[in-house]
Amino acid sequence: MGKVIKTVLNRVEGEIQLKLHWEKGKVKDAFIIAPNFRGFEFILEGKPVLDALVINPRICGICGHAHLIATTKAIENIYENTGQKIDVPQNAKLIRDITIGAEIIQNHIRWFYMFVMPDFIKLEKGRKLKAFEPVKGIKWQQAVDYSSKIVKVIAVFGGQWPHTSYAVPGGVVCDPTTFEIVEATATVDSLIKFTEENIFGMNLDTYISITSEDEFLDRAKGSDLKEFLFLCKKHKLDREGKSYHRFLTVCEMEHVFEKGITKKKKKDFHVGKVRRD
Amino acid sequence: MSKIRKLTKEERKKEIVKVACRLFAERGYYNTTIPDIAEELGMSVGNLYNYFRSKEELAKYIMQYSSKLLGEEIHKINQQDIPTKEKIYKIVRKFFEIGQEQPELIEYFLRVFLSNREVFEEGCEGFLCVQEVVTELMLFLEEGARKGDFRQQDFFPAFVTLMGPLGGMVFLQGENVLPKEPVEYSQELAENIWRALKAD
Amino acid sequence: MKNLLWIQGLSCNGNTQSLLNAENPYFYELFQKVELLYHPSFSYRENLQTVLKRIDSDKLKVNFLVVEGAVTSDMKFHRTGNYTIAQILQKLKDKVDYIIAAGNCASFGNIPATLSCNPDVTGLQFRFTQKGGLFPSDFKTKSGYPIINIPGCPMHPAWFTQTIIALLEGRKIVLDSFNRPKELFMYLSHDGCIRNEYFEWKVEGEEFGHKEGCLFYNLGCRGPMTHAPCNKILWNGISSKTRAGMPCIGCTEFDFPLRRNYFETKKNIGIPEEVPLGVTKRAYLTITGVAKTFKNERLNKKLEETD
Repeated sequence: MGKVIKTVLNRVEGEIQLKLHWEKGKVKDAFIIAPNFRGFEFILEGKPVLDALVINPRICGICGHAHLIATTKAIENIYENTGQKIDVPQNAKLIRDITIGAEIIQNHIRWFYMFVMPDFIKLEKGRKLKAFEPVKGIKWQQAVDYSSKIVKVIAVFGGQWPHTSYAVPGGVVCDPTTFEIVEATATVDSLIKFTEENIFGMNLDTYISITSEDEFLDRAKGSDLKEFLFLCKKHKLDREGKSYHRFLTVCEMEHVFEKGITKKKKKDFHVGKVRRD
Repeated sequence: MSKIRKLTKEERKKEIVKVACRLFAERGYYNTTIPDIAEELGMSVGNLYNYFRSKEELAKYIMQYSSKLLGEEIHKINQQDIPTKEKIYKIVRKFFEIGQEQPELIEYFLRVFLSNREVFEEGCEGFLCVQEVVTELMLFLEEGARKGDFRQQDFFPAFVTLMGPLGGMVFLQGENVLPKEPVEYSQELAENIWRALKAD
Repeated sequence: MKNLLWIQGLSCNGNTQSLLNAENPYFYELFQKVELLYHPSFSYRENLQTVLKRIDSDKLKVNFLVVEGAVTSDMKFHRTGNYTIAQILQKLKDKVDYIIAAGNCASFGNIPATLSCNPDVTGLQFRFTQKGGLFPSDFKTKSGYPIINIPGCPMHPAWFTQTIIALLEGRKIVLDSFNRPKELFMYLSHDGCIRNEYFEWKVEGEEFGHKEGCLFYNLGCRGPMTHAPCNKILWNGISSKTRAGMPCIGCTEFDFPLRRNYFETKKNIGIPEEVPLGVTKRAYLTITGVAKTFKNERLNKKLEETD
C-alpha cells in the first residue's frame, strides 16, 4: 500500500494530517503532520521582552489567555533569575487565576460541544443527536451562548477576549470596582447553573461529592456528560489510547525528554522513564 | 481721509510695549505707573486704557509679545532643511540679535518677569505666556533626537541646557562685564550647546 | 439562501473564536440568514476538497468567501490537503461574489508576515503598508468590491456579522483607503474611552494598575492613532482594553505588529514622537502645555476620593 496521508483533524490552527507507511499489511511507521508553520519562536527573536505579552497570546485563538499568563510568569522568572525580585500582589494573583479559570471553562464548553460531540453524530447514524448538530442544534447554540458568556469575566478584568495582554510582570493592569467584581461573580453563577442543568445533571455540590462512575450515572438526570460517557463506552473509546502494547500515553513529559533548548530535529526519548499516573 | 496714515492698533500696541518695557526695566514694575507710561508715549491715560485695561494686563502682554516674536523666529529656523548643529547656531544668534535690536525685551524678562513672579501668577503661570518659544524648542529638540543627532533624555534638562547659556550671557551683558556683544559669542556658545546635547 | 465558505491560512483561529462571541446577531442567527457551506472548525460532515471540487466544476456557486489567516504560496509553510491557501484562493477568486478578510492576518499579513525566513507571507490585498498582497491592488471580486478587510487581532464579531448582513441586505458599504468599512473604522479606538478626560487634561498614567490616568503619554497607548470602534462597539459587549487599563496596541492597523515596545510611548527628549491623528505636533504641544498649566483637580485624585 505504501504511503497513506489522511487529514484527521481540523479544528483550531489548520489541519493535522496522519501519514502512515504500510508494509505487508502492517503500519511500519507513522507521522503526525501539522503542515502550518507560523514560527512564533523565530518571530520573538530580538524583540523587547515585554512585546512577548502581545505576540505570544496570538499563538492560539482559543487558549491565547493561557499563553499570556505563561508568558507573564516566564518574564517574571527572567527578572527573578537576574536578581530582581518581583512581588505580585495577592489580588493580582487572584485576578490572574480567575481569568485563566474563565478561559479554561470556555475551552471545556467549546471543545466538548463544538469539537467533540459533533463527531459522534457521524458514528451514531441511527440515534438522535440533533441537539448537538453544529450551528443548528439547541445544545450547540447553548454552548455558544455560555462559552461566550464566561469569557466576559476576562473582559471585565482584561478588556476583551480573545487576545488581551492585561497581565504584565508584577501584576495586572486593571483595578476593578466592586461592581465589576459583582458582574464577574454573577456571570460565574450563571455558568454554574448551566453546567448543573446541562453537563452534570445535578447540582454542583452533589457532583463534587460523587465518588464513583456508577454513582454519577445513577444520579445524573439530563446530563450531557452522562451522554458522552455512554457514547464513549458504546464506541469503545474508553479503551483507546491506553498505555499497553504499542500505545503510549505520556502523562509526565518532564522526565521523558532531555531538558534544554535544541535546534536538533530529534530529541532523545527515554521510554523507560514514561510513567502512568 | 487723512493723508498721514494712522498707526494700526497692533502697531500702536507694539510701541506701547517698547516704551513700557523700558520703563518697567529701568524703574521697576511697582515704581512705574500707567500715567508714567502714557506720559512717555505722549498719549492720554484714558487712551492707553483703551489698549490695556490694567498695568498687569500690559505686563503679561509684553511677555506674550516677546514669546511670539522669538517663537516665530525659531519656527522659521525649524522649517529650514539644515543640519541640527547649524540650527543651534541660528537659534543662538537670533536670540542675541533680538536682544541687540530690542534690548528692552531682555531687560524686561530678567528684571521684571523673573523678579516679580506674583504679577504673573494668574494667566502667565507655567509656560502660558511663553508657549510659542517652548513649543518651538520642543519641536526642535524632538526632531534632533528623532534624527539621532541628540542624546535621549528628559525634556527639562535639555531645555535648560539650550536656554540657560543664552540667559546667562544676556545677564552678564546687563551687568556690563562682557567685553564683546553677546552675538559675537554665538559660534562658541552654539558649539558648547551642541557638544552638551549631541548623541555620543 | 446566499451561502458562505470559510477557509483558513496561517491563523490562530482567533477570529473564529471571536465570532462565536457575537451577540447582535448571535453566531447561529447569522447562519440562519446565510448558509455556512464549510468551516474548518465546525464542519464534521463536509470536506473542503469536495466543496472545492463542486465549485470548480460550477456545481456550486459561492456568495461569500471568508478568509481567516495570512496567506502564502510556499508549501513548506501551509497546506490544506494538497493545496496551499494561495492556490485555493486563485481557484476561487473569480467565482465568488465577495471575499472578506476576517482579521488582521488575512487583511494585512500581521504576525505570520513578520517571519523573516518566509517573505512570501502576506495579507490578501495588502502586505502591511504595501498595496497589493496575494492579489494586486486593482483586483475586484464579481460584486465590484475589492477584498473587504475586517481587521483587528482579532476582529470584533459585530464588525463581521454586520458587514455580512449589510451586504445580504444589498446595502452599499463604503471602504476606506485600506479597504475597511469606513463607517466602522472612521472612529479611533480613543473615541469613547473612559479615560478621555485624562487625555484632555494631560494627566499621564505612569504605571499600570490604576483606574486613573491616560495611557497615551507613557504607556504606549495607540488609541488616538488607531482606526477602530473598540470603545463604541464594546468587546464581549461590556468593555475594551483601554477601559480595563491596557494600552491600545493598534491591532486594526495595517502596520500592526511592526512597532516595538507596545507598553512604552516613543518619545524624543521627553516629547512624543507621534501625536494624535489630525493635529500637527506644534498644535498638539501647544495645547498640551496649556492643559498641563490649568489643572483639573478632580483628575489628580483617586477616583474614589473625588467630589
